[in-house]
Amino acid sequence: MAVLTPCHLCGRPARAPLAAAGRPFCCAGCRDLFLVLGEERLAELRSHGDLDFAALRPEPAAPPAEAEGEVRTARLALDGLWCASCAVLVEHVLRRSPGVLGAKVDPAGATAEVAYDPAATAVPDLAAAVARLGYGAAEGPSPPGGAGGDLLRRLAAAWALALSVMMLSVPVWSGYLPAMARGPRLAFAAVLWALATPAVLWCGWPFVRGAWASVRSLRPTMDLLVALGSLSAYGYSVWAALRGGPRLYFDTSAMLVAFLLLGRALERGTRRRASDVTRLLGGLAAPDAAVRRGDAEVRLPSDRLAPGDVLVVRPGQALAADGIVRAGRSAVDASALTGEAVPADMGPGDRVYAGSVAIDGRLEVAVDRVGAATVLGQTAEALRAALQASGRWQRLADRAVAVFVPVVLAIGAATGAGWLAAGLPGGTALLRAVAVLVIACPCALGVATPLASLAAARRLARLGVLLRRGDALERASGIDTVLLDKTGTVTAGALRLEAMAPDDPELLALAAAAESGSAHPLALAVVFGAEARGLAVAAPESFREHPGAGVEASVGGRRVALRAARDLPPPLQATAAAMAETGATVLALEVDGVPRAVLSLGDRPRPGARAAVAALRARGLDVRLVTGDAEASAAAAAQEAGIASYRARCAPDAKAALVEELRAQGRRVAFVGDGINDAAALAAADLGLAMGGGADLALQAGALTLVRPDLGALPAVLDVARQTRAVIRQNLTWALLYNALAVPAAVLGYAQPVVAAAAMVFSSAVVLGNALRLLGRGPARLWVPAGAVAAAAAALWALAWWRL
Amino acid sequence: MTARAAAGLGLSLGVYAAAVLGHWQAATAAADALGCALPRAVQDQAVVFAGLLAGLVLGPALTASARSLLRGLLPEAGDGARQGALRGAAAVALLLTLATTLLWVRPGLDRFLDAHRPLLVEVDLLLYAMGLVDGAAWHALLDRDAWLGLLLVPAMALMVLSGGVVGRGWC
Repeated sequence: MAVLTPCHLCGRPARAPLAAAGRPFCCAGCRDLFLVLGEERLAELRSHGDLDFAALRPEPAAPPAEAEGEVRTARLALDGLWCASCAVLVEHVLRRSPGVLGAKVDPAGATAEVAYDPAATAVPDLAAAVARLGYGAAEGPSPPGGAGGDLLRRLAAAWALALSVMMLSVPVWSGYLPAMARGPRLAFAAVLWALATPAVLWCGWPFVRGAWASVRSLRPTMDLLVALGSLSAYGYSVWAALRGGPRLYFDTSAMLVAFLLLGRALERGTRRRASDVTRLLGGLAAPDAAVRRGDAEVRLPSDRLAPGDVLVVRPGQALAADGIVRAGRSAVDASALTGEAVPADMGPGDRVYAGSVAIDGRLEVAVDRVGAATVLGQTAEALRAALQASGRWQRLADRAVAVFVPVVLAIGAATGAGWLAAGLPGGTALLRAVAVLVIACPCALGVATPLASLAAARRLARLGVLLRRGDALERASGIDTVLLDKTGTVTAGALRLEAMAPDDPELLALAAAAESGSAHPLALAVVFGAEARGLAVAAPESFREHPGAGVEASVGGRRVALRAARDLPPPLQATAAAMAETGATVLALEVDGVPRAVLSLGDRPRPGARAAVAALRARGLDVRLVTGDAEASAAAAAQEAGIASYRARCAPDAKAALVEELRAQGRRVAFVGDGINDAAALAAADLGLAMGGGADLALQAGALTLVRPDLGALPAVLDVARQTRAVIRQNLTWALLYNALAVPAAVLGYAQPVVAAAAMVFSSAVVLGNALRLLGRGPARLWVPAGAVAAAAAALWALAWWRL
Repeated sequence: MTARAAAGLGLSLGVYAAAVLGHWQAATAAADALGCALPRAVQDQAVVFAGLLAGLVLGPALTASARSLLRGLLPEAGDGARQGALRGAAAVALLLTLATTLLWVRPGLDRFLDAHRPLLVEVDLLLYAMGLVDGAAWHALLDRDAWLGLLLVPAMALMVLSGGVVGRGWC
């Protein structure tokens, strides 16, 4: 009898195996999904979700549908998404379902959006396809808060119930329970049982489900240990309560769930932010576009565009795809991608990018990249990948758990068997085995990283810095290089009139009047500059704008023009050249056809930037400037900020590449920026810091946000990052050390109920107290409130004990 | 700490001291021995009331800490959603502490407590802590009108007690 090779993904026999990465697969679907997920994610997926991989098998489906008929969109609320891999799996299966034209799953919002052909499928079929994987799916919006709302409900209930159980467990800890009369004893046990049951079985259900999946996949996980610990404690307590036994572990089982849910809730915020980024990027490009078809124009959604289409872009419109300008001319604001503060003049043959905005002219653009292939799409993908990556320390904790769990399970089993063999009664031997599982449950391990991050977030908030990613401060360890973006970071990011030669108010008033008809940033700077000097800005009698070339106007009967400073008489040309060397943009003013003056427009340095750079350098950090602007502008800004090294004309991908290059050299890099053009570099850096007031996308992509547009907090931020790293490391070390000491005690039978509960609380308190140090509340600062609480408790105790 | 807060905490301590007076304890222990539950219940409620006073005084600080924690847990939620979560938790805390009132009106348990002083002291401390939680919860729910909790908590507790122990309340 022939033996069929099992599929590496779904486990079903592969009659005609397809090979990939040296592994057999039963079908192309399984192979492709494996290639998407990778071995590590697949193992994680198997352990966390109660999944049916067989559902991945190809259905005898109709050929891929063309969207010729009616297309509908359904929104499914999903239940049971535990990690990003779950979302990948659901999305994959939905896309493969017959009649589905596209699907997108938002893991943080626990929703799936599906475009489908109603003639070929229906919403219940889609929900059923998801349900076959082991997830819940129903049509309609996700409930408020989505999966996060569910987690928080469980968390709140767990803490309310667990604290109540703890308060009522005093007779258990103090050993008075066996001495009570039968009635009160049963009443106590019944109330504890009633409170602990929803805490363990409902609040702790995600752990139980994960544990079941872990058992099915034969891969021990933290969920398994948590579920075993809480269920063992709960089960033993029920058995003891029914038998009138003295030892009840209801408090331990409930507290275990509460602690672990807290850790999960803190971690979840990170995933949520990752999905916000792609949403923001999606909104940046135009949702639809006018496409030339012969002599006519049709409007098409941006996802229906294809290379070769010709887009018609009018003033004020954003581009929906990347391409080459075929006809027309316009100033294009590409600051989202290039970082150039000044819109660039674009004409035939120039490359333009999705997300850029045509300001003052009409363009026809031949599309060559659409959707995910655009620079914007690639940036989004890079961000998504970077933001969803786990923190190093969290991964270290996860790896520790992967070893720790089977070891503890083995020790627990050996403890029970050993004491049974030593002649102890079965109940007592079981109790000691349970004690091993209970005391070893990694509460402290689960909250060590999230708690430190939370405390650091509060400390940073006091410094005017918002933490955007839970693992940001872990990744910031040992920063030795700081890259500063120029526009909006080292400088204020807004053009202003810096100088005029000759400095003649009458000429400036004429220039401002001529520019007052334009919305171009250069024109606005001239008008604001005149107003700032107290000049009245008259309205021009006539006005004409030449996109990319300047303006002409009639002001008070005189012909006034502003244009690029070229072909000027020698004295003005020399002045213009000197102005340009400082990195400024220079305009020439002509009155009645005669060049009369040159105007210099530039960005101004941000106050405090020089002091911040000096403080960073004093800490031994290598500080560099990086910008999309021209050489002269970069050099001037670097000199003003006291930065010795700079790199100019860096496109967004070049900034990210520079970050990667430095990291490849073994450096740990912090990047500070404010624009969408900085987003990829912010995400690629070990520590991305976004300037407040910058683009939303930069704020989302940065691991940290400086709320005030001031670099002054930067040195303190790096100090907090260093402290946080130390605290996380200490917390993890403590958590492991605690188990190394406590587990042997439990094995030897020293873990009585009160000892187990106290040890668990003490361990978590140490982790919490250590994290509080990040708030600047060292032991000395804690003495006063702790002393007040202790004194009050002592007074209350004394009054009750001696009863005046 | 303001003078008003210090006065509030002083009053709380005074009420507590009065509630656990030796003479009162002796009287309630005698009532417990006769199977009469309400004297003990009234004494327990006096202790809860003392804690409630402290909770109302410390309410603003405790509520601020809870809001800070919620900001960490719900970074993307609006202030309204976080306030809703806080109020929900406060309501649950009030109901749970009220539900446990039923435990303290079992004469058998009370007799056991009277006979075991350390446990009795621990119960008094727990009752005070429950009152503290109640005070903070009322502050989260009613803000400036939280003082209404001073009326509502004893009223609700006595309603529960009178329903639960009718027929064998006062001796």
